[in-house]
Amino acid sequence: MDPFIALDDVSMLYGNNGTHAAALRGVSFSVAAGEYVAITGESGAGKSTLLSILGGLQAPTSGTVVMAGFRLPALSADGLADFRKRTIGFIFQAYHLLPYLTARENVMVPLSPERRTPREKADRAEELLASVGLSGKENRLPSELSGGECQRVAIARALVHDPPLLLADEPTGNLDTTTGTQILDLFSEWHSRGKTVLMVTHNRTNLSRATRAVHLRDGLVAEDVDLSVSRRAI
Amino acid sequence: MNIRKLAWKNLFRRKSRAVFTGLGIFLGIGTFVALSSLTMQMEGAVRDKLDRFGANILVVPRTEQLSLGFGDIALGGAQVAHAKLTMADEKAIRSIRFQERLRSVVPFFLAASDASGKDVVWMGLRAGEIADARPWWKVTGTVPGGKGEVLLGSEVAALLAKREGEAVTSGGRTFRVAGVLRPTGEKEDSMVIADIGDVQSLARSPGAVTFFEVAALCKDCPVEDIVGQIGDALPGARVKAIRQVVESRKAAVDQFRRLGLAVSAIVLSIGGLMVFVTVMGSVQERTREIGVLRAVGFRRRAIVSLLFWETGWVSLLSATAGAAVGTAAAWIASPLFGMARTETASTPAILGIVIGMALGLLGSIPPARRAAALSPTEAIRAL
Repeated sequence: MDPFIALDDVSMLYGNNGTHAAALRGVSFSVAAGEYVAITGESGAGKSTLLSILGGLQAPTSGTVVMAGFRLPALSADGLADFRKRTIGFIFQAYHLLPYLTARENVMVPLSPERRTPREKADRAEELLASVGLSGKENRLPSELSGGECQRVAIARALVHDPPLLLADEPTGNLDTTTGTQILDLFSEWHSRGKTVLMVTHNRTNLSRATRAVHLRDGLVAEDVDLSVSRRAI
Repeated sequence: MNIRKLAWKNLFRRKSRAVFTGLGIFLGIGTFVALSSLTMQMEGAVRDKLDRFGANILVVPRTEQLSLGFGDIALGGAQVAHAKLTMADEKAIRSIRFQERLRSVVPFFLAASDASGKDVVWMGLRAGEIADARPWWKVTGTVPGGKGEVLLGSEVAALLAKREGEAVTSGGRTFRVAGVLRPTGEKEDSMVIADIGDVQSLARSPGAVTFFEVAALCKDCPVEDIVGQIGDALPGARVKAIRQVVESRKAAVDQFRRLGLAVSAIVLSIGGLMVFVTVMGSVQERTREIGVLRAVGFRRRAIVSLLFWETGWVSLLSATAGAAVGTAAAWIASPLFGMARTETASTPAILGIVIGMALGLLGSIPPARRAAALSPTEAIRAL
């Protein structure tokens, strides 16, 4: 079976005027549908660059990226936008909710360009907010929610199109341990429902939920560990 | 939630920016609508005067200004008429070569006399010709049907506290007030209008005429020829075409319109520039937000649409407000330009709103293109 994500010799160089810094240097690995992969590494290891390439937000300098059967660099800008909408749910460390919109409206934002009725959009948003434990808080602004609640809204927003892949960049980075655990519970729950999860993290405790850890060092894959096997061994 | 609503909500997030963006359009459209409305009113007034006067010709006695003085002492001057006009001169006017082009020849006689104890000016013309000579007059009651009846100018009616059906006395005679003239803004407001025979009789000047109004019957009349022929027929009279006066005013209005357009163009350009600068600033500020929207699947067209809706809302609100204020300003200012406050035309306001919307959208094209071209990488780096 074809992997859900396949990276082959992916490199990313930054810089100009003859000076180059390599963020990624020939990264190759693949991810099967339904995996929960933690991408770890020190600052500057290339985690965020990898995430933006996987999200179709950035094209690699060289190498190929195939995701859900699509060669990403071959897609146009609008093709990539459609691809992201269908395939990927982004979750950011700083939530990036629109501060002037309520929780419900923030979840509805990705549906804005679509021709669904407002009722259908609102129903979908409320369903997702309920699934992340925010029933009754639909009309609150981000400023009226805690950090954990904001991240739940961001997760609901990422799931609004029911994408098969969740890309999370340090989703618990701004949260205390208890709240972070609750968010990880949500990721585990959605993973158990068949979603593929790729999570960039510094935090080694986040590895406990992942089935696999890809450790980056200096733009290279230093380690690729099947955690389900190691956990079974323990 | 749709893009329209998203744009609307964003306006209230950055109120001061939205106000600043709208201010340029508000001022531009306000200026444009005010000046356009005033120009339209002026053009209307000139057209009205042209309609009223047509190619009218005024025949007055030829006068000469004499300076009076004794030694170094100046005693002012006096106008001396070479000849007086009489009712008989009408026949001479009607005898010119282009006589078939004369629609009417109306003699007027003006005299100062008392009316119920107050000194006023009486204007006499043949009672049966009042309606034809002054078709724009609006009268409460009726115009005099013949001798023994008067029409009071609005100011005279107020001065004498008389209304239609009452009586006015003068020179030992009693005149029935047939009607009261509604305010015209002209000299008639302070006159008593009566049959010319009655006024001549009150002034003890039978057959005297102050001036003739001659109306030519055709469009594009050879008015100068008619003027010349009447002048030849009445050597002691000064003959001039009133149209010249009206047309000189029309030229002044044209100049005002050109000035108004120039001022509007300048203010609107500044408004457009303000839209451009503020929306461009907004795009720069919202790189992160645009990045999020791109990440959640917004196409470039959706980003452009969002910015256009935002500017569209601001433009619509500010252009509507500008049009309303401009219309009100024109209405308030119209007396300063010698015009009555009439019903304001809606055309400049509608045009202003359309221009305001177009200006806002045009001003936001470059920033919208910039936002759409914003690389997701650039946007995502801000996340």
